[in-house]
Amino acid sequence: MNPLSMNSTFPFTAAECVDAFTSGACSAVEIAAATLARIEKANPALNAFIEITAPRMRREAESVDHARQLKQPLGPLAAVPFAVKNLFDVEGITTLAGAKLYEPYPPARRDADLIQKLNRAGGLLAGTLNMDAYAYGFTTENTHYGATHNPRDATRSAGGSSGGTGAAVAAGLVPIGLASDTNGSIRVPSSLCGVFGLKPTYGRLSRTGSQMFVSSLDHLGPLATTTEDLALAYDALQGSDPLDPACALRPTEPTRSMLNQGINGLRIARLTGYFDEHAGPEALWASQIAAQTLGAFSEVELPGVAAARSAAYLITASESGALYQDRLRTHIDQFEPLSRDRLIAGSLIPAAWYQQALRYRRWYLAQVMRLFRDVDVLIAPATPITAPLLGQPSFKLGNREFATRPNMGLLTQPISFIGLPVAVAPLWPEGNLPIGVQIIAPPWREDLCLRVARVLEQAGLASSRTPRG
Amino acid sequence: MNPDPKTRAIESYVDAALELHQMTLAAELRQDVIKQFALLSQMKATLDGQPIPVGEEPSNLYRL
Repeated sequence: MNPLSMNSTFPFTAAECVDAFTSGACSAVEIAAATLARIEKANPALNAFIEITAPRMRREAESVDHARQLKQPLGPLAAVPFAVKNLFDVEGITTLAGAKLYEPYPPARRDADLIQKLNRAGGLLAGTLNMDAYAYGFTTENTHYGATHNPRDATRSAGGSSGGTGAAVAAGLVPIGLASDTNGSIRVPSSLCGVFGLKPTYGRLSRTGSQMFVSSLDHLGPLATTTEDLALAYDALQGSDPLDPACALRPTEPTRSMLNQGINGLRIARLTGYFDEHAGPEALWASQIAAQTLGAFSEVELPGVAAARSAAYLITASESGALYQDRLRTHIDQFEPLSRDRLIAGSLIPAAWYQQALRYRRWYLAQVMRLFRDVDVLIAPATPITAPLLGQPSFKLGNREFATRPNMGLLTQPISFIGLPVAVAPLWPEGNLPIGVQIIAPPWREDLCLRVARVLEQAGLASSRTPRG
Repeated sequence: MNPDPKTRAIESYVDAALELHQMTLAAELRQDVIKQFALLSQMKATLDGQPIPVGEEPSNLYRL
């Protein structure tokens, strides 16, 4: 098949790739060629990819084809293209984490644990993706590597800090992308680019071989164009890792087989209070229509949400500032101008402030867990607004004005602060820009997040509307 | 216009902490850092507005 003659029948989602490959309808090499052609055509306008690993992808595809010829067992992601935020180690490539600071560093000697897992499942690595420097931002406006453009409207932000991942998946360049989420960096790009995303429970997935930002808040997870692909990717990524001190020693808990179990018997409630007060009209619509579609007529308020967001902000500033303090002193000219002031200020936070934020986290987690005695799943908007313009300094909610770069995570920070699993489902208010809803569950219940997202997808409310071919 | 006492206190703290950490900043960057620290100070005030029991221990999310 000539990849340049791709059409809508070419395998497109991860599940379609697996089906087409395992049935013999096409080879992994053909899928890789089509993927690379898509990237070559679309990436110049998006700036989603920082590095395209074409030779490696072709080699991996040949290996998967060879395994099929030998009738060896094929993995659950056989011949599925994927790409990763450039804070994941890729053997032979310097891990940039969006930062010029890291350019002189040697190439990674081995792949990150999660890349190894996707490769073992048959996945084909297409490249590394743009991000806010150090993962500190919500817009993927990067002074050194350029902004990533939103595929829905190229004048707008793809969100951040995993904007390259959001844009690559939304544009149909790869069906699955890996990203990190400290305060919302999976959920904000999912919302603004209009794709599905999953931030698993803190400690669920291994972070070995990824560039740390805020150790006590860093999560890794997948973005995808469908809930089935999201579950496929998530299941392949699971598995404990003794090398990551935060990774829980839990057995894998597969979700794909339970994806279609529906929501009968689930107690679903919509979050109000702080979440409604920080939602623009589209965000409020998304939260309300999702709840209505799910038959979730009860509404609840979390206690002390504003303080939770403040505590997350302080922990982020303090840990990231401490991480970079020495290099801020010696290499200040190498730092991203858009975030170096925040890093320096964070490095000056008194220990007592940081400790207070950690103490608050424990108290807040206990309050939220109490709420989960009466509720199984919570619904809230993922972002206050749809995608802002690139360079847009602020946005308004009513008569209040918020700086864009630090505040796109207003609705995500209070959730990841206590490590809860969250799926984002993309909804489409009037106009052409998507906005996501967060589907929040108790720790370790990613299956519930995915089942609810699946129901919204099957109801026709949530979809990635990703262009084919 | 003279800054208010709170702003003066933040400026003094930032300057002293920068000196302690042996960081010398250009004037514009110093001003940006002061603005960011003022924001962090507001976050601390919001946190103070939600008192929690005195004996609460710091979180250990590893036990989630």
